[in-house]
Amino acid sequence: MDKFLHFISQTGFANIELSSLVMMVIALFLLYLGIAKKYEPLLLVPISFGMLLVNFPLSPLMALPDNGQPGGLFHYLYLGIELGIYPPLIFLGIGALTDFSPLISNPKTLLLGAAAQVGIFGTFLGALALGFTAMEAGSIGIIGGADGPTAIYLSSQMAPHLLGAISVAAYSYMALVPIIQPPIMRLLTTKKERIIVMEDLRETSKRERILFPIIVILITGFFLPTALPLLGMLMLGNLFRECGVTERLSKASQNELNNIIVIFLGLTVGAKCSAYYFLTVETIQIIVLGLLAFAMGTATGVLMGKVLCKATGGKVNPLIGAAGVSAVPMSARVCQTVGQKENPSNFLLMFAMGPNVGGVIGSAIAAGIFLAVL
Amino acid sequence: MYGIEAINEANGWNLTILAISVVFISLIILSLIISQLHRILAVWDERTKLLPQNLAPEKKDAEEMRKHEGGGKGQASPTPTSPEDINETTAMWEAAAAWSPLIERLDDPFLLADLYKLAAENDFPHPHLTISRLRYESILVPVENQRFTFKYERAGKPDIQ
Repeated sequence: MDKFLHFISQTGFANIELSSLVMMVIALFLLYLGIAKKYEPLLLVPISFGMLLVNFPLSPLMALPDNGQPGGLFHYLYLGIELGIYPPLIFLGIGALTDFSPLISNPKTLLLGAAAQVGIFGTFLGALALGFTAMEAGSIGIIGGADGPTAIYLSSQMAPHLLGAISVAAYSYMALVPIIQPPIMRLLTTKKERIIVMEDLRETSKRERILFPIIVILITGFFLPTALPLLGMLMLGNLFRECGVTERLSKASQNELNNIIVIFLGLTVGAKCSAYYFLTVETIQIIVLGLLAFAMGTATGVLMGKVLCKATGGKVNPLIGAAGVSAVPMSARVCQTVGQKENPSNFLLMFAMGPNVGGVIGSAIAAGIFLAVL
Repeated sequence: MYGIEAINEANGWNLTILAISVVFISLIILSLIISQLHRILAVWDERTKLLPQNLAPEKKDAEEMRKHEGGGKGQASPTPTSPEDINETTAMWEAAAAWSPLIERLDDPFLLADLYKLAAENDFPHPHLTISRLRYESILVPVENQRFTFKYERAGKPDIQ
């Protein structure tokens, strides 16, 4: 009988807490969004499943090593985030997957990528005003970069206790780009601006594409060494893709390595979403601030697009400024959709890819600045 | 501490201005360099025109070729006029045939610098001489922007009886 009672006391039923149940419901809801609504499924499915697994009562997955016994699986996988390994490796894959030609042929769109980062710093101020510490505020602000790996990297280095809320907010808003961005884009532009047809991009040579990652690293590496873990891997991945002599490494970065890291990253981010860390007032504040950051980044990108439109005599469609928030390639697709609604013969996708990949570089630089000064 | 007071306490305004400035300055510099990159590469491709004549590789090649062909005296004849010339021309077309697979590996039109590099990588002997001669025979023909094309129809062995 004692053994039976002992067994009962070791089950989840005997140890259930309301907060854990709430987290499990949230996890199942995110799982539903990922599978049924296809909102960033490659990330939301492992994140929400990781969240579900760690919120079972007495779940050993995040257990620390104790009395000579090894720790839980997620405890060890989490070292990849804690030590800043997974996000740069994700960037390696992104670099190998990204064609920077639209940016190389139209480099002024980098300014749109820069402008869209203003949301990060505006939200940083907002978070400070709400009583967060400078490091926490920086980690929250980076949600405005709409770049999951960057947000995870920065919060793991500066505010690991907020990692779960920040990463869930970042990926949720990235998934909600088609809902959040269009109203802001329409609000800040006139119909005349939205129908602007941009001139064709010039073709880039292979040598330009090979030199691009090297130049980016030489400049940003001297300006901001703290951005090198992210930008260095991004550019290495791109060099694998473009140099033409490392096809196998490029394919491995794009596929096998990237997919493995996405699984580890997703599971361990979910594992940080235990009720203890997640069900707090701060989480709600982070969700609201994240939305503010994202909206502000979109707005400043579009406003810079308007400035470029004026400066070039109407040759730049300001809508592409919204793609300055990273979210590759979803925000570029949103620009295409909004532009095409006004002018069905307008194809903005390739033009929007310039600020889009510029935004990836910009948000990595912003993260590097926070790491350097906070 | 909350509100403006909290922002001031953390030097929030200064940090924000500094951070925005760094993002813009670094991306503007990057943008300027990238916008000039294709021009820099075009200048690099035309360096032979920009260099003083005595340093231009083509001129040196030509001198080397003339030296090889007759101790610097006279011009090589475009058509064979003697048995030696016939042998040399035959060897030229053999060289052209040997080089054509190498040239197939390059984009068309291509830069001579790329061809020199590929020849060096594959240990082709006397690349300067051979390329100069291929140009002389109009097998390698300039097209645009210092780029060349290889006339395969001219590289076939002629019917020399």
